[in-house]
This record gives sequence, C-alpha cells and structure tokens, in this order.
Amino acid sequence: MFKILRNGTTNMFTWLVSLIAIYKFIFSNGEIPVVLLLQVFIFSFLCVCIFLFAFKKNFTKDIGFTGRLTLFMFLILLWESCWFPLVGWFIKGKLVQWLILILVVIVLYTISIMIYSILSKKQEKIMSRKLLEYQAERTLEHG
Amino acid sequence: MKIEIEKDEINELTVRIICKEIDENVKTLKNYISLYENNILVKRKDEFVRIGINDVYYIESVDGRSFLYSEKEVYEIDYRLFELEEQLNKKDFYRSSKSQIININHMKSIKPELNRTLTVTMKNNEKLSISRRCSIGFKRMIGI
Repeated sequence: MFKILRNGTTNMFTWLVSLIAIYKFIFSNGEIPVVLLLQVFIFSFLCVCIFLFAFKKNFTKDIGFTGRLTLFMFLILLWESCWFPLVGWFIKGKLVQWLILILVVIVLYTISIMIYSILSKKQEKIMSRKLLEYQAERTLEHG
Repeated sequence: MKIEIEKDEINELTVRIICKEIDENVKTLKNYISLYENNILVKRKDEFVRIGINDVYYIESVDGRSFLYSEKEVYEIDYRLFELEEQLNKKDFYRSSKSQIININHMKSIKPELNRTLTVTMKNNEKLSISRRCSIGFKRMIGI
C-alpha cells in the first residue's frame, strides 16, 4: 500500500511538473513557483489516495472493474472540481475549462472500459476453449 | 473394525455392515461406500435420497453445514468438505475456495477478473467464483 502511494505520487508529480515546465518554457519565462509545486504535490497525492481507495480497498472489491473505475472517475472529478478553482488553476466563469475537463474524463473512462472489455473477452474465449478441451478429454476417459 | 470378504452366488456385489448400533461412524462409513459407486446420500426435506456424483454441480459449506447443488436442487449432506474432497475424483471436482468444490464437467465458461479471481458460469447459468489462490492451480489443471 505504502509503495503504491509513494511510487504513484512520485510518478504523477514528475509527470505534471514536466508538463508545467514545458508549458512555462514555451509560454512564459520558465520559472515554476514553489507554491505551484506544493499545489501539484498535494493534488497528486490526493489523486493517488483516491486510486487506492477505489482499486485497493477491501469493501470495494466485489463491485467489479467497471464499478471501481466509475467510482474512481467520479471521485477524481469531484476532487478536481474542488481543487482547481481553490488554487486558481481554473478561472471562475470560464465554462470551456470545465467542458474540457469533463470531456477528458469521459474519453479516458470510455477508452478504459473498451480496453478492459476487449482484453477480458479475449481471455474468456481462450479460457473457455481450454475448458472445453479438458472436458472433452474427461468425457473420453469416462467412456 | 473387522473386514471380511465372503464369496457367494448372488449376482450383485453386496456390502453389509454389522454393528451394535447405527451411530455417526457407521453412517459415515455407509456414505463412503456409497461414493464408491458414484452415488451420494443426500437429505431433502427430511428424507434421504441418492443422487449420482456426476449430477452434482458444486458443493458448498455454509456455517459448518454442507450443501450439494445439482442443476435445480439443493441438498444437505452429512459430509464435511475436506472429507468429500478426499473421496471425489480430483480431475472432475476442483476445490475452488475454502468453502466450495466445483464440478469441472458442468462448467460452461470462465472469465478472468481484474483481482485475479475467476468467475465461472455453470451450465445452469449460475455464476461461481474461484479464489485467487485456487485459480493458479485450476489454470494449470486445464492447461492454460
């Protein structure tokens, strides 16, 4: 649990800081304020906590992958909706920012579900075929 | 316990248990012998009936009691799960969790889950689960 929290936060923080660095380099003087780094760290940490809650917690283990993903996306969206205006990443009244955020979440959600469905169906087919082969062998043995 | 084999002219192989009283041990012994002929003695609404082992879909232990599930019926049995596991053919019946034994021959499909368990759909469309620990052995068994 601690390892995932540590590695997840580190990865997400590094990724976001890299993106911010590129953005700042292109559009401004390239400086990144310490406050912004702190905000990014808190944001990353809470996102990883939400991930752990949705995918690792015992009481959510029976709801299946789709359920967990839905819960994760919902909580992430909720967290972003609170955090972004609070730290000033989103400017109040700019609808387009919110629309982009919702669009990103929906696209990611759909892609995840599609990948899961495709892989799951493929695995199911392979396993079920193996099962049938095994059953045929047993039927032959039974005579 | 004394074991004697007697030759006779009768057509059917007969096993006779001679005892002072019919206690739990004798009942268990009777059940063991019954299993030899691929039958199992089960309880249904206060009466005992015999059903073929091949008709069993799965066996489950709930609150210390064992239940046997066929395509449509549920029966209570006197065996404990580990006793049955020893008696049943391991190529046909698989211990899918601490409390369940599944008949592989009545499985219809298997679906792997993200938490590394397997969801099995039986031929009567009932869905059962193979625990994470047991799924490794099961996959090996059917050759995955």
